[in-house]
Amino acid sequence: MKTAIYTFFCLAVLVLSSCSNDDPYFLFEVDNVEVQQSDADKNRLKTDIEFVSIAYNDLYGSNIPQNQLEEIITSYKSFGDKSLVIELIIKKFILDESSDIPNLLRVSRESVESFVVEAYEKLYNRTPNAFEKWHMTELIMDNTIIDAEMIYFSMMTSNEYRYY
Amino acid sequence: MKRRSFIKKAGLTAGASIIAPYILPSGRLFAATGTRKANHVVLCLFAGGVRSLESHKFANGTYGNLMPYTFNGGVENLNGVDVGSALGSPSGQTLQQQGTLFSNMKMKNGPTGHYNGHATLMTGVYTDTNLNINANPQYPTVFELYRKHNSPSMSALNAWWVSNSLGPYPQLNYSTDPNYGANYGANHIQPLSFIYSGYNSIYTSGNSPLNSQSDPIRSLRGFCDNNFSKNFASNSGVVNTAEDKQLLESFIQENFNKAVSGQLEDPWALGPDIYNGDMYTIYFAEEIIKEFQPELLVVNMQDVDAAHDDTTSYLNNLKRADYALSHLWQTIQNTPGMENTILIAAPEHGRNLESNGVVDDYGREGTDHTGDDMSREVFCMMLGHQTDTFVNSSLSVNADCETIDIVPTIADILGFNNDIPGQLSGRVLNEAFN
Repeated sequence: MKTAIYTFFCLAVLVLSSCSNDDPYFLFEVDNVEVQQSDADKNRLKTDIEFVSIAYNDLYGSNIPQNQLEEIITSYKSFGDKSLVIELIIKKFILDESSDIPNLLRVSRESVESFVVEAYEKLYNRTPNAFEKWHMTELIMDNTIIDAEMIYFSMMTSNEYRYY
Repeated sequence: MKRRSFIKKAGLTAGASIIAPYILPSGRLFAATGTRKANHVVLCLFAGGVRSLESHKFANGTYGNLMPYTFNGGVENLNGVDVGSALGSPSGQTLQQQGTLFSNMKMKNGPTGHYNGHATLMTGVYTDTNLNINANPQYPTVFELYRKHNSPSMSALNAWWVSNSLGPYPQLNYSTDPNYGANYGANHIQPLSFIYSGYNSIYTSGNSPLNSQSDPIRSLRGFCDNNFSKNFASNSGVVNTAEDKQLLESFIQENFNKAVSGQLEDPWALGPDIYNGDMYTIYFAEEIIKEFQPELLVVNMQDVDAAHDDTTSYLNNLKRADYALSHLWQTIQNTPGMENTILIAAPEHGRNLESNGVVDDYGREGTDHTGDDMSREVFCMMLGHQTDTFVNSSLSVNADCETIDIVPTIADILGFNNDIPGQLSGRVLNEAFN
């Protein structure tokens, strides 16, 4: 029994210390955003305006101009299949030469892992868990056709990116 | 013959004998519970509140026949109503000569507002909802009834709602009814914003490597979605299959390219200055018809609502809408795959008998639509494809009917009316069919 209590205590200390002390804290251009450890708390659907504004900010590092936001929201409202419109909007952003997507360096596994971690933190506002980091890295390393734009497009049109 | 082979062949024969009676000449199955009168219905909501005195009862009005493509009775030339010279005169039969005119249709209940009129025509139920509320209707739309009760069930590419404007209208592609909803809704597009002026915001030129159905992107996004518990699809409006989304994206891209290159400025070769929003909207509905041959398409026009404060514009736009409706019918008839189509046209409501006192530059007084008897008067025109024998031609029906009758009529045409017993209080407009 004593051993069990001691083991539990040690594990608790390890878990708590790992969660509380070294959380990365990122400063984005507009608001302070604290990077989370998991997706468990993402329950709220972004509004259309929030979605477009955040996507623009994630890719351009600045607030979207008001007239551009209005044009995009009008287009968004003008078509019934919202998932398709979202893909068109994100595609437009990503393929724009002035958007800022980091280079995907394939020089080593570590450099790909670093890209994956950075993408999760920037887009999902959390660090990837060990499995996510490993699997995404494997996917990217196994498919040389995959580039940074594809990764950003996939993540920004995924379900998680619609929530916060 | 071996026993197993005998059983297999006997089963196939039995199955074929059950299915065969329900196969149309075109090769597709249709609803087992009702016989179809046609395989396609196009409903045109005409055109933002039209007074009977300027449409089917023009003989009692002061402006004469402003809809020469639709109604019998020649062409009027009025001071300031000069759009007619560009639109010309019908060279063939009027729509009235080709179809059945219901001249005593009424919107009997509910406020005679645009949203109410639209919701009534598209749900078959009168609504008391306040004007211009941005909400999906309470009762299932004709799209949902069709997609849920047609057998076999049809994809969203078969149901389209093409609207002239935004506001509350995009929400009319599906209802809040828990038994129906977005899964049975229609694809909606408001082409004036999406294609004609909105392409700047979402258009990407050239072939993009960011194809959502490519293997790398499916793998990446699939992995991300598998590691997240919520699904945006439940909030994403009408849902298309992955294959249909590819077709849609290709269609959109093609039209963006046309918009960028200026091909959409004068699509009917009438001169670019003649078009209004209604004509562009009808043109785009025609493009959808040509591309997808949907079984059910609803399109509206709204520009005659200028009548509130500019009656001369109202009269000009009425002529444009008249021409556009006729053009729509021609396109349907000339589109392969749209044989066996019935076109129904009806205003969502009429306009008041008394003017509102607003006088335009030509001294003409404006009219609102606030619920007097005349604002409840509309017409309904029904046309069958020339090779069809189902819809009577050159027939005028004086029997009373209501705007709530149009949805049950569509259900009857497409063969699912028996599958929605008691849901609709309107009647089938049987007088149109021979």
